[in-house]
Amino acid sequence: MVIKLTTADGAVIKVEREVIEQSGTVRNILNDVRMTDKPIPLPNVSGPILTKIIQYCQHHKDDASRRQPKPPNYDLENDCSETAVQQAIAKMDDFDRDFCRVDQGTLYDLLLAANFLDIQPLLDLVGYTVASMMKDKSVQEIRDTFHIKNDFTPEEEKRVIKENSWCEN
Amino acid sequence: MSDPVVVLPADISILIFRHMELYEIAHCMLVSRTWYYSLDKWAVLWSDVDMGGGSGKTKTSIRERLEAGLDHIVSGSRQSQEAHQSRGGAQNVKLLYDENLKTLARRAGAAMWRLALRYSPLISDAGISSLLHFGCVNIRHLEIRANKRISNSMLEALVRATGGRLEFVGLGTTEVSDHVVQQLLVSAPNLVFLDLSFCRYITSDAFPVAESSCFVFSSTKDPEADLATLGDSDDAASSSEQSQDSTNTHVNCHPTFSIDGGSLPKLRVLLLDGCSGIRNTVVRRILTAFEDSICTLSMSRTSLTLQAIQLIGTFHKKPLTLTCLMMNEILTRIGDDEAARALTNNWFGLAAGVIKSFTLAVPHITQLALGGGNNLVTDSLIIGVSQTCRGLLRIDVHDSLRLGDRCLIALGENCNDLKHVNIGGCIGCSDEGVIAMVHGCRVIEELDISTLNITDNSLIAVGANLLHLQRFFVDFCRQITDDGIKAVLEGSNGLGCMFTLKHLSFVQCRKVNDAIVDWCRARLRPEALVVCDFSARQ
Repeated sequence: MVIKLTTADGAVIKVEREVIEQSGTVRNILNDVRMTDKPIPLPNVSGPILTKIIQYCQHHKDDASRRQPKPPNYDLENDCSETAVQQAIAKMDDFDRDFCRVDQGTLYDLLLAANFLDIQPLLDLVGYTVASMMKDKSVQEIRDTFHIKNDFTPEEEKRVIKENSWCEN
Repeated sequence: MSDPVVVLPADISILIFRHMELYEIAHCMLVSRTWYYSLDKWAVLWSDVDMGGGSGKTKTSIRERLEAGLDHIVSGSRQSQEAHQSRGGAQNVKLLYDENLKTLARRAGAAMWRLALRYSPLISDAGISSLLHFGCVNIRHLEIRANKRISNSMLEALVRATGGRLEFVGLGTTEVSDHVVQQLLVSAPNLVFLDLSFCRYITSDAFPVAESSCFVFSSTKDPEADLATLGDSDDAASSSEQSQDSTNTHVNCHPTFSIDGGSLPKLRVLLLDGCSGIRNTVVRRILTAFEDSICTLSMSRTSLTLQAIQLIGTFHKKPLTLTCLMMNEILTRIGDDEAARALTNNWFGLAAGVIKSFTLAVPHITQLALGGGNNLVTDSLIIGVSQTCRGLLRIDVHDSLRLGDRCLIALGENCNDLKHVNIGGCIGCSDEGVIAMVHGCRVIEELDISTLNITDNSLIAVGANLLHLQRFFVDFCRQITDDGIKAVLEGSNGLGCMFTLKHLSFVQCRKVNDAIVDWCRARLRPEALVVCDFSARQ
């Protein structure tokens, strides 16, 4: 079955139901309204971003574990998200790596769209990609990466460094 | 291009930072004022404080640890050595000071659910009181190890405040008193894991005595108060007994109190290794209090005797992982306890009747670890165990000098489901016993026959019979040769253990040549580990 989606810029994009059901939001809408001939409006997602997300869903559509919502985990620890993230990273394939080779603006748009569409694996993937831009870097390198200006006064900076002294080796 | 903390909504920024370790987040706070104030107020980022000891990147879940039976923490000496090495290798142990803990407590507040200070010698009462001050009362995983500065009264306050949520508590190598443990058991109904290993002040009084309708905690003394009185009496060395009596009345005695059985926590794992104050009386208390739930009990290097294990067998009718290594070593070391010493001597040549009653009492034990040089472990004991516990999955009797081939033959006859066998260092055993056991127990996955006086014949039997072998240790076996190692891998028909073997160790085997290492690596799976060391051959 083919679903029509209307993006923020008014474009109508057709996609197979099986593919787009990885989005919790779309899945819920389809379950609720039960009519699929009219396009579903997605006012928060632009055309190019939706196209990219559909590429992602297309690639992972046979990935059964990703589509099933996880049963609530009443385990001793509730950091199941943490382990799920690690699993997702372990499963990261060449497609995923290429998928994330885009500029920061696109990464942010992907994050916002993945959050809106409720696609947890994509959220983890892009979130991890942005986080890895900050890992193992000096503070100045992080500022350069994201074009941030150091607005601490020298005294403040001294205080903050002292407060976080335990994190520096 | 642009600042994620500024352009993205807070919840999405938090998602990004959740991919980072605590110290990386703290590092990011130095970027700008916006970052500092945002990260500072996002409590959820600081909710999992896991510092020191094991490297933070290899977090294991509690469930995993429960399922692993805590092997890596407390079982045989080899594993603990490995654990120590990996811990030492991590080299990212960051010592926290009180003010650091205070900062973390302020940022996390009520969101903090894990506080794991695995090596925290510098934290004192001030740090712990900051936890209470900033309302970190939802901690479910509390670990404070290797600390001598926190007072028992402060720990008690922490336990009272966080009690309702606590599930995992590790207080190993601290000076925690019986009373704190009592308080913990009373105020933490959800507790499932309690590690008190190497807490030297813990005695049987930490656990309640069953009365007709409730459990009663007996009154305990504060070890600090004890120390104080000791100091007093030292100062006044010449003072009379009367003055000592008067100081004793000042000792801070906690009153007796009782609790309904239903409110006790359903403890699943209890570790009491190295608590020399733990004696046989504790077994009955623990088993009646946590009868339905306990599944792992570890009491190596305590003052227990074999009678205690017999008690466990009599009272506990469920599968249980029991670890009691090096029991009588501590007995002989204590020395001042005449009764205990007499008992060990008597038990040295265990009477036939005692063995019978012991072995009849333990049919529900599936994993038995009695190694580490217990003099009580004899052939007749193991033969008796093998006849009663036919479902035994794991037996660890390493360094039991009194064992011979007879017990291995009995294991091969009776316990065909054995998966883990550690008889390393049992120098009384030889080819005959190993071959007989290997013929009987064909599903063995882990076999340690280090330092045994065996020849290639044993290895040929291993290769021909054990098709599930994953870990194999033949260190210090002086007589084995290249042919033996080849026989293990290839078996008689080319189908030996080469597909399953993950860990093969032949350290200091004199007659084995270097070339065999490459030969093994060429055949084993790429992730398999071959451990060897020929340095002392010359």
